[in-house]
Amino acid sequence: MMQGSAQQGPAHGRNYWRSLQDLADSEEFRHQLENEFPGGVDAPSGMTRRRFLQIMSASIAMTSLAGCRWPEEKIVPFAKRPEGVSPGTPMGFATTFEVGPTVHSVVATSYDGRPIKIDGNPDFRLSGGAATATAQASVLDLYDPDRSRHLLNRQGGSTATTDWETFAAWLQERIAAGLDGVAILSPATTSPSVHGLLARAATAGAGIHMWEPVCRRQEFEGVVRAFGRPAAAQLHLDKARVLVDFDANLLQDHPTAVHNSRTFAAGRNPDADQMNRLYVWENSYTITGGMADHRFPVASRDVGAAVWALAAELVLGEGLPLPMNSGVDRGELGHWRGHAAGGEHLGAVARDLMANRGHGFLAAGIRQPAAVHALVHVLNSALGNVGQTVTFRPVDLPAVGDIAGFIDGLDRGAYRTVVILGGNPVKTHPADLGFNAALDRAEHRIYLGSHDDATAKACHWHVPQAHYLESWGDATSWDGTHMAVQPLIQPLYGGKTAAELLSLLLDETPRGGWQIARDTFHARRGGQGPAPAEGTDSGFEKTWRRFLHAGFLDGSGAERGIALALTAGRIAAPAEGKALSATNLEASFAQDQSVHDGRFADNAWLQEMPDFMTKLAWDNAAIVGPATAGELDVKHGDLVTLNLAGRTVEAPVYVLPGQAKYSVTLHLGYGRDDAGRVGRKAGFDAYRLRTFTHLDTADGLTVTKTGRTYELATTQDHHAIDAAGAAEIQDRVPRLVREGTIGDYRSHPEFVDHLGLHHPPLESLWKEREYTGHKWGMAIDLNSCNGCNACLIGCQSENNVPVVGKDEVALGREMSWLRLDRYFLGDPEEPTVTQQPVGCVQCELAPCEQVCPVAATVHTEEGLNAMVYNRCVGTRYCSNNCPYKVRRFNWFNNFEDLSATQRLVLNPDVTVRARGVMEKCTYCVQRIEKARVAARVEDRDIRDGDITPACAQTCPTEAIVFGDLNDPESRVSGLREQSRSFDLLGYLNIKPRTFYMARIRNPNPEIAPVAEHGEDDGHGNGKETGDHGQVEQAHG
Amino acid sequence: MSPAAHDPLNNTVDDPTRPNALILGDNDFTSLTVKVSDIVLERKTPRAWYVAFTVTAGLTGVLFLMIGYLFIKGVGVWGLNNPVSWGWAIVNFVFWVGIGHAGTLISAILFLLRQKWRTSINRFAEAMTIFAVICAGIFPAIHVGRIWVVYWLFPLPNYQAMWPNFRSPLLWDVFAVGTYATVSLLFWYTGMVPDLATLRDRARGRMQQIIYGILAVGWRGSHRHWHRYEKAYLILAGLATPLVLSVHSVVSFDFATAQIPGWHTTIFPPYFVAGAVFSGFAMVGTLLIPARQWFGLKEFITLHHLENMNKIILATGSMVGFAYATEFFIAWYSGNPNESFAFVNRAFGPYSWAYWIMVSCNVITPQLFWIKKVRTTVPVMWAMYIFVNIGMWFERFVITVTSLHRDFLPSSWGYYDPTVVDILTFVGSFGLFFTLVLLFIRFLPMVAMAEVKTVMPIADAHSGERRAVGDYHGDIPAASPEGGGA
Repeated sequence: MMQGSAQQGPAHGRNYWRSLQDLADSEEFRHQLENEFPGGVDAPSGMTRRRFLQIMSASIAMTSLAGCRWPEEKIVPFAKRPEGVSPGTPMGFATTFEVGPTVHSVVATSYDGRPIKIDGNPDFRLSGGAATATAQASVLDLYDPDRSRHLLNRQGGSTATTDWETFAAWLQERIAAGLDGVAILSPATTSPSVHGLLARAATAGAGIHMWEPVCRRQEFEGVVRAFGRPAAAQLHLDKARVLVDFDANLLQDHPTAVHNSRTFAAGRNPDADQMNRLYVWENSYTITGGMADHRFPVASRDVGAAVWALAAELVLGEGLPLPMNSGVDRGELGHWRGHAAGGEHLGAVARDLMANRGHGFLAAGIRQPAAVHALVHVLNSALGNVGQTVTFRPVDLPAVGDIAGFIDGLDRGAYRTVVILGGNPVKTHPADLGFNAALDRAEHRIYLGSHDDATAKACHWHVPQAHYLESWGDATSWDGTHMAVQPLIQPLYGGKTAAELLSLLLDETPRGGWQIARDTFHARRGGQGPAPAEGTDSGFEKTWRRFLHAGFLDGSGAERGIALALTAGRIAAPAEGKALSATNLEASFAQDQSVHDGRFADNAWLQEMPDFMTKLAWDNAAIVGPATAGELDVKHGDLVTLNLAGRTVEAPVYVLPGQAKYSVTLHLGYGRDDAGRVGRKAGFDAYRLRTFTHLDTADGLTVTKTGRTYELATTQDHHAIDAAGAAEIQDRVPRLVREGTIGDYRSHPEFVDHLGLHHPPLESLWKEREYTGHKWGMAIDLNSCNGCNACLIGCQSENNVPVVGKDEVALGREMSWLRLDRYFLGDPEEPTVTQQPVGCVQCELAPCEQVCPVAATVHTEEGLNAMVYNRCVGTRYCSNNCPYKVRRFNWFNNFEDLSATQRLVLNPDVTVRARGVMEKCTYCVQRIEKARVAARVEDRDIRDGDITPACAQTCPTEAIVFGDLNDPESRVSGLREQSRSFDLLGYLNIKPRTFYMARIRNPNPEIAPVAEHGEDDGHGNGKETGDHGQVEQAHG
Repeated sequence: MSPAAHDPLNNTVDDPTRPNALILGDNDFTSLTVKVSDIVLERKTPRAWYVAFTVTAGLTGVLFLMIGYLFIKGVGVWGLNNPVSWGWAIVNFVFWVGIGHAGTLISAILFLLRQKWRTSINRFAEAMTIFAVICAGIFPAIHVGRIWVVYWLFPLPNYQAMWPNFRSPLLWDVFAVGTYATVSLLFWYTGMVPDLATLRDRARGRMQQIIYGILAVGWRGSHRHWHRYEKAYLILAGLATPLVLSVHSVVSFDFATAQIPGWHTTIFPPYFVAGAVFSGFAMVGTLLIPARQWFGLKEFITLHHLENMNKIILATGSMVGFAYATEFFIAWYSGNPNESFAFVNRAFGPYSWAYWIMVSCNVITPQLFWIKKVRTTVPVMWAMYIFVNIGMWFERFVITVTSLHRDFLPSSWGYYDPTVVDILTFVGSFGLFFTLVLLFIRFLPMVAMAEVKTVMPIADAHSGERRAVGDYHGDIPAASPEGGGA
């Protein structure tokens, strides 16, 4: 967007966006669209490029010009440029992407009318320009060739293609008598419009039920129990000095995870006076656990006991006074003191929290029962953290039934017509409620969904759901801000939104999404009735446009929230079940980082994105710890039968260091045999074990070997590592990923240099090039990076990085230009973990350049190691000689099988690489050149910050900084000078331009230091740099 | 007297009173000519030849099918991956180039060193060199990603003035192997001209006369011809001699100049050359033993020849073994942890099976040649040759793959398995090699008649006194004005 806006007008002149409905609705245009765009795109002979541009220009003209009345003109060839549109210049539009209760404010980049990239909205506080991997990958779903293209009517075993009008006529006839007997099953949404429509439907007699496989119900209930009313906890992690995370994964599985990552990193600056400290109790390693100074692996069901034990330690051990209405029985606390789940260091944690009252923060995860949440709130209140590190935004939870009530209604015969507003419940429903049989009892079943999935096949009517980039709508962010959802493209396949379908049910004259969102916006501003017609109320129009421009309504959220007072009733202590053992394992159901609850199963970017900890792509697995695996006598890749209360499913085993003993993590959303081509064969279906009574964890899981194995595709540790290799890794990693404790750092700021290899002075074989102009470089701060994968997808989206599929990943042929190296160190049961993003480091003395026989990889004057794709013959010698192994080879034509629709997502600024060609990170050279052009147009030099590579742009923790090393004022130069900076493999004298900042841990001195390898490496006091020859540091 | 002395075909027993005969049996120039040229001209092609040819031609077909499939789909049909970007194709390339070394060594170096025993086997070895280089040349060409622009590796003038990168060892390879192939071919052909003329003169079919006539380029055996021939041969021998050392040195630069631990080693050039000679002689022996058996050439390719080859195998095999030991010593002595690990990983890592195959075949096997009985027993030595061939292929595999699969960053460690296409391409290259060998045996003189004649007792003016010590090429008896003297 930024590039586009430079030419479009004022500094913040993002283009407004709205639908010129009267134009779009014209019969001819529809005809064009149907014939030319949705149908034609997949037929290679159907459309020439020129024709495509014509059509696209028409849709731009119709959708991007605010206030500009465009006459009845259908086709606008670019020979006659539409006003305000520069062909080939990308434009950005703010919109909102919603995943259940999580709301992402994003900016979608549109290139000649097609959205190609999603970034965080820089103006929105909770995204700050960063977007998660999921949000960035959502653009790919728009072009999914397996999306439903037609409204389907299934009757008596036959499937007929029909259209919206026919369906609407049928439905209106059907409900003419009212909504009695109609049940609506909706996934979680934050949309005020949908909430309003659902409330109206309930009033009109329909039964409203919600089913979200991974929801935050218990979290809200916990707030209700503690404070007497539902509220959304607002986190202010930058103010917290001591953080305790009970299975909450605050940096990832939270609606404000992006914001949390940023604020957490901000509080972790080792050069500031204070550096925060994080304690984590969790069963499976999460990115939050990876950032922890102290992590305690504990089964998910025992996390509650750990909270109680901590409470006991605080109250009974440290004398923390319990506030009024705490609901906690002191006597009961005594029972929990010293409970095994808390571990031996609870006293130290309690003292740390006591010493930082008002600056501490405790959080429980959504899998924990409401009582645990309530106790956490009590402790936060008692410690004075409420109002400081956590505040609350009161919310009104809609009064809706749950899925059990829905099934009950069907079983009773109360519901005859069922409207399912997405979510594919036939796959995701709890296994114990007889959902499918109940659904079959409904006379009429209507399903709004993006794919012709299992639920669509179980319903009579399947209405294609519009992608959010095709939709008008709204949403509410975690802090209550009113968010805009606006389309960048006409629905490719005539999709509808949930609000539009509800409007068909409720409104005499069904409204379109634009009207619904406008009416809600009007009502939210206190207006009565429908929103004023366009152009009639300039005041309204102005706010509306500002709303669309920004993507949110400024000031509508609660930035600080309020502090609530405790009104808790008695908080029940967790029940202690039978002890876990190899025959009584815990099944812990978790949302998946890639497919979430299964909804992104057809997203190839996300499927191929390696899990940040397991590095698994294209699959889920039964994750067990090394000791448990030993007791069960299972190995990595063994196919086992999981049996939970008589329900069985086969799954491969993944042995993950740091997994709590006897806890088996099962990620949801795989095994989607009803998915499209991408997701169909990926993983196993953990929903089949998940019951309504035990949605989060369940005891009694048993594992039986089948004797078969299953190939798991990982991007690291492609094969089991032998003893010699494992020992070498433990020996080598401290040199590669350097880290130390805050104590080391403060006493010996240069300790990082001593972690490297000692070697004789480095001399070059050649006369080294002088860099007099710009000298691009990149700093990656390992202290901030938590390994969230956002940069991977950002890079993939920006640079047209191909997806190669599971078999190729298993071979070691993944194409990702940027990878996250994950290293475990120490005891496999309680290891520490560090992430290291590695892309091409643009060596000044690049080994790849010397060996290429055809000079296809060469150096630029600014020090980029440039890859000349059309000169490359593909000897792969460069890749062999690359010590970082960051070069990627196109073993096949990776774009061969892409349909014309799928190609629409490609970034036209970046070459699509041919078969047989090597490729790698370019530092986003296309962005460098754009900035250069922009600077030349303005007759100035490129300024620091003009250029942001895609990875740096989307990094929530701002761990990646790019800039000119020749500019002493640039941020990257400043970081280069810091003592924490080091070169990866610098002793090879290749002079990498990307350098790393060492990770600093802040262990509690009372507890044994976590990172012993961060000590001085046995070189005395670390001051005598000169005596050790040259240390591994080539200061650029 | 040892029992071996009773065997008229065993000339490996030293009798200090007289030099060993290089050629056995009661042969004169004519019988030699008849025995060798009749294989080509007169004798009915054995049925076994047809059977063998059918098999090898079929395998050659497999080779070209695999190459076609590769060209259509891309290099991904092989098992290569990110850390291991070079696999069997490069292993096969180095393997075949190495085999090609025996020919030049025998032709050029032993010629300059006046090792007369070479005359019986040099034609065969040279032919094998050419065919091995042909097989070798296929692999670097087809292993590139974009085969349709592979000619960019050559310094062809173009309007963009875009030259190859002269710093790249792959480019040096192009020159080294190209030069080697050219010189070897010229050397082989030049040496064959007198024999081709013999075939021309003895041929009775019109086609044979025409074809051998063209190939003989007007050789009439005049003194002037002989004079120029001798000069040309000597010059080519002089040119080829440094190539024996240079080609495999340059091939080793592909690895030695790269910085991967296990590749970046200064020992590679001599180590590779020794290994090449080692493998080349093993391959010559592998082919020669059946050939002398089936075509009745035991009088010309005697046990003494084979024993001499075995001694060279013993010498070069020991050099190779020493190089392995040196690599380990330097890996430890250098104090470079990456280098040390590369070698620990070779011996004990996931590819240790390949390493121990290599060591068993290349270090242990040749040491058995210290025993004379082993050195002079044909079936045993043939089995040794097979071991050496296997071992030397694995040496290249170990160097190429085990170094790549675990380099600097443990995150990028991987494992490489060949695919069916990898395997069939390699098997197919043997098909091509043996097809060419069979064609050579069938259509060209496999023993250098003209040269062997010079070392026959009868060639010695003082025949009877100093048998078998005739001056090489220097004193051709004027028995006939044409041919090699038939």
